Amino acid sequence: MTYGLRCWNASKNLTLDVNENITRVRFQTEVAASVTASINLPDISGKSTIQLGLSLKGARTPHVVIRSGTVITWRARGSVHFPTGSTLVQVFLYD
Amino acid sequence: MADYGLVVRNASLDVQIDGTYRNHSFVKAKSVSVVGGNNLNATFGDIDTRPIVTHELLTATPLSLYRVYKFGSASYIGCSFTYPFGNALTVDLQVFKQGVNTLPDYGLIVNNASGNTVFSSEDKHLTFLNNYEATLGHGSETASIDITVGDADNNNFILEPFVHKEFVAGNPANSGHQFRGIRKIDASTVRVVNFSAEYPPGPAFPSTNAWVATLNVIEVRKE
Repeated sequence: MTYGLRCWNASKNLTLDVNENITRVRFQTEVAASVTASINLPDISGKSTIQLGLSLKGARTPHVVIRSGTVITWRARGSVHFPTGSTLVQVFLYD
Repeated sequence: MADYGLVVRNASLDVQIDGTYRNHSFVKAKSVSVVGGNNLNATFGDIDTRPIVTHELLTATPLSLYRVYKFGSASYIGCSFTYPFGNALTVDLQVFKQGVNTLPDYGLIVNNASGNTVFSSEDKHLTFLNNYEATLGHGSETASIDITVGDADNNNFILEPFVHKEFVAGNPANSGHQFRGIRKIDASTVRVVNFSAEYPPGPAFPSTNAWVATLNVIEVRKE
C-alpha cells in the first residue's frame, strides 16, 4: 500500500480501502414537478459521473437527468398514470 | 475540500473522503417473491430519506423498478417492480440510505464542520462500478438491446431512468402500459427490453413525454 487509507473492524475484517475508487455525491438538489433546469459543475470535467433522478413520491415519473460536458440538466416528464413528480437529483463521482 | 481535518486522496489525487463526503450506506438486503401476475411489492421498513434500491437480474424475465413509496408515511417503506405477466419469481434486492447508517465505537469516522458525522468506516457504502448506455428509441413493444457488463452473476444493477409509455386512454378494457426492463442473458451480457404489462396494448398514446430513448445500465457492487 503506497497511498490511501485502510480500516479494519474488531474482527480484523477490512472495512475500508481507499485504494479503491469511492463513490460519493458531488451534487444533489430536490426539484419540484414540472421544473426543468440545469447547473454547471466545472470540477467534474474529465471525471466519470452517474446522474440519478429519484422520484420522491412513489408512482410518479422522475425527471430525466442528463450530463453534457460539465452541465447537468434535469428535465420534467410525465404521463397520465405516472405524472411528473418532485425528484431528488443526485450526481455521483465514482472514479 | 475541507479546510481542516482528514483528507484522503486516490492515486489521481482526487479527494475521496473529507468533511464534504456524502454517499448512501447499506441498510439491508432482502429477498422477495411473488406467485404470479405482473407486480412485485417489497417492503423494507422505515427509511427517512429517499433510498436507492439495487437488485439482481433474473434470466427468466425483465424487471422494471417503477416506484419507491411512502403510502402516507413520513418514511419510505417499500418499492415495486413490474414485469411481463408470468409465473412465480424471486428477486434479491439491496437498500441504501443517504448518510451514515452506523456510528461505531471503533474504526474511522469523519465529521463535517458542523460536527455531523459524514463517513463511518463500519458502513458498507454504495459503490458504482460501471455505467453503460442502452439506446432503444421508442422501438416496438418487444425491442431490445444487449449490453456487455462486468459481472451479471455477482453484481446488482440499476436501470435508470424509469421509463413508461401509455396506450389507449379512456378504454380500460384495451388499455396498457409499456415499460422498459432489464434481464440477464449470461454472466457478461444483460438485455434491456421494452415490454407490455397489464392488458393487451392498443395504439400508442399520443403523449410520449415520459419516454426516454437512452437509459443507463448501472452496475453496482453487491454488499
